[in-house]
Amino acid sequence: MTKVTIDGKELEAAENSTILEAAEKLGISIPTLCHLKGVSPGSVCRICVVEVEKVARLVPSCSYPVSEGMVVKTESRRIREARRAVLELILANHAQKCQSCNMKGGQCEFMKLSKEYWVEGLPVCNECKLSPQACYLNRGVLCLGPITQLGCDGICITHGYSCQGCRGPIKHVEEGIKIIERYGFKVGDVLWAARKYSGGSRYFDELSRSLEK
Amino acid sequence: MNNISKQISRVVGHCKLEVDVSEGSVKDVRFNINEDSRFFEAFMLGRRYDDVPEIVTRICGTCNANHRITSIVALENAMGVKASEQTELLRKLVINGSLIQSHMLHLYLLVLPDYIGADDLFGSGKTEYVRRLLNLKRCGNRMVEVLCGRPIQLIDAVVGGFNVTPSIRKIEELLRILKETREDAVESFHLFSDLKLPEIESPEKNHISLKNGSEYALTGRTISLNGEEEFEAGKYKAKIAETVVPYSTSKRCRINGRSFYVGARARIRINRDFLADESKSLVSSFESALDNPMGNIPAKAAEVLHCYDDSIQILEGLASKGVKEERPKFEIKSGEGVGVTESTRGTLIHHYVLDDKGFVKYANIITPTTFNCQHIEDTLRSNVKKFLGSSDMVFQLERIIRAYDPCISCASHFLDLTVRRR
Ligand code: SF4
Ligand code: SF4
Ligand code: FES
Repeated sequence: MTKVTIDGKELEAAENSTILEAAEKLGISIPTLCHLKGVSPGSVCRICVVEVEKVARLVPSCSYPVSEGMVVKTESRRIREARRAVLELILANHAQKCQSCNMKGGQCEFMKLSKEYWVEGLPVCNECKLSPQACYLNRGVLCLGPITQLGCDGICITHGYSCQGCRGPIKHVEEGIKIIERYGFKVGDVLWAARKYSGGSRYFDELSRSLEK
Repeated sequence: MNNISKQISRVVGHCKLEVDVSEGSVKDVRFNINEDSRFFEAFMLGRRYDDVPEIVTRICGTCNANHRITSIVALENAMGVKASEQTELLRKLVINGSLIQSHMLHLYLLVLPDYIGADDLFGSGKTEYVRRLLNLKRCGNRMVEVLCGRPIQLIDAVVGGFNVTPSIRKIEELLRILKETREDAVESFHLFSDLKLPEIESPEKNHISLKNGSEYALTGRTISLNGEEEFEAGKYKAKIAETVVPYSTSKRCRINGRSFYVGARARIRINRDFLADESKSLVSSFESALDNPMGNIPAKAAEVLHCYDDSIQILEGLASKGVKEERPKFEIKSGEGVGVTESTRGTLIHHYVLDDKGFVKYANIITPTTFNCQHIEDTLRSNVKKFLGSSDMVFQLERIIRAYDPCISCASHFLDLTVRRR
């Protein structure tokens, strides 16, 4: 048995267990993405990083074994920043086609974490409760979900109204506009609709001028 | 010259009172709205009719429900759409909820601190008042939320009706909340009608409010002047003259060359016979204050109780009759329409002209504070002498302004008072 302290709570953990397993016993949850129970850990996503006293770098809790007298912290500003950076990197590589993804509406673990860690640039679509088939775009109604910052839980859509973009444009508007275009809408129409709330954003303004040319 | 400038809080938006004093006597009093122009009417031009309710909701975070409903009524009048009876009832509920929301906010947070010797309610240690305020506010919020999807910046109310009709379960939930918190509304009334209000005389007695002869009118088409003379809301331009003054970004309104006021006090004076029973019987307890701008305070508290009773009655009707699933259905037509409702601060007018595809060609919005502005200035002018030289002059004048509940805009809050002495 190995004695460890996690977030101030003490525990006799089984030898060779990981920090993640020990934390679980204490009821402390640490986010994971690449980790699968029972499979030897790959430690590639690094979302599960924690602070260990006397270890300078952050360590991945899903593979790091406990040792006698170890003191662990699972929440701190440094950890938060690191986790957010991890999520942002994944997002940069992820084709965001939430509108046609079956995991949308709150089932996507990655999106859940992205929201929790305030990652910018996620579209309303991934909160939207409609199935990909029922999506407004699929039914020929213009919806600004793909280019609009989430956070409202897609409330308008739940109330029978397509997203009007009131929360402002996401970082990668161009990508979002391309998605909407694929459903047969014209750029001009999208810009016209989006200008209602986003006309004041300089970035958006420049984009719409260049696209309209 | 001796300038005194002071920042004071607890009004909604930026405004400034300037008093010029020379050789011990008052030379001029100006009530400045120095909020930046907001161009709402301008940027609605060329947008389609269905964007309008959404855009105007953003004018104000406090009475956005009223802006939304008023614009919808105006657009319906422009396109000749007739709302169903059920829609009318639901809209009344929304307005009642909105009045509860913002009346209570104004009375407890902006007005009450003046009378309990505190800077703000939360810091005053009066947890009982805070609890009551939160109960009432929660109730108002919930009413708007259930009917329109969100407590502020509503979604469901649209031209032609409602996108989503509330279920019977929701109606019953509202009934329960209203009944649970009604006692708080009664206690609030007693709290505010028992306040020792200063005697302020206002030189101008004219006031306007909606009136329709069958109910306590918060929506309607006829505006009454002093309860004596009536004119059609659509013809407001012929009656109300709007002028511009160089020192303020809000226009000034006059009827027959005289300033007038709007708001709870005006409504109670014109429509008191139609108040719900209990509120009606309570009016006599502050009747004398109705001549006084400060009378707006108990008048608002009485209105909240009325909104409670009125809403309970409407909801009970809906609960027993049931709510029909209705979808807005209408044709887009060109036309011109005016919509008027009574919002928390008073009569609110929206006016639009649409082309045959439903695009906005003309928009005009007159908010209650625009109506009240000149009246506030006139009242201050005739009262400032009384307080000149006294140590609490700033406080006294501020109190008068606060009683009107001017909503200069929604964003920020300071009132800047400058006294120039020569
Ligand atoms: S309905 Fe709108 S918000 Fe929902 S998935 Fe489709 S595009 Fe996105
Ligand atoms: S319009 Fe605004 S609130 Fe509605 S779904 Fe879009 S972002 Fe959300
Ligand atoms: S869960 Fe991916 S590195 Fe630990």
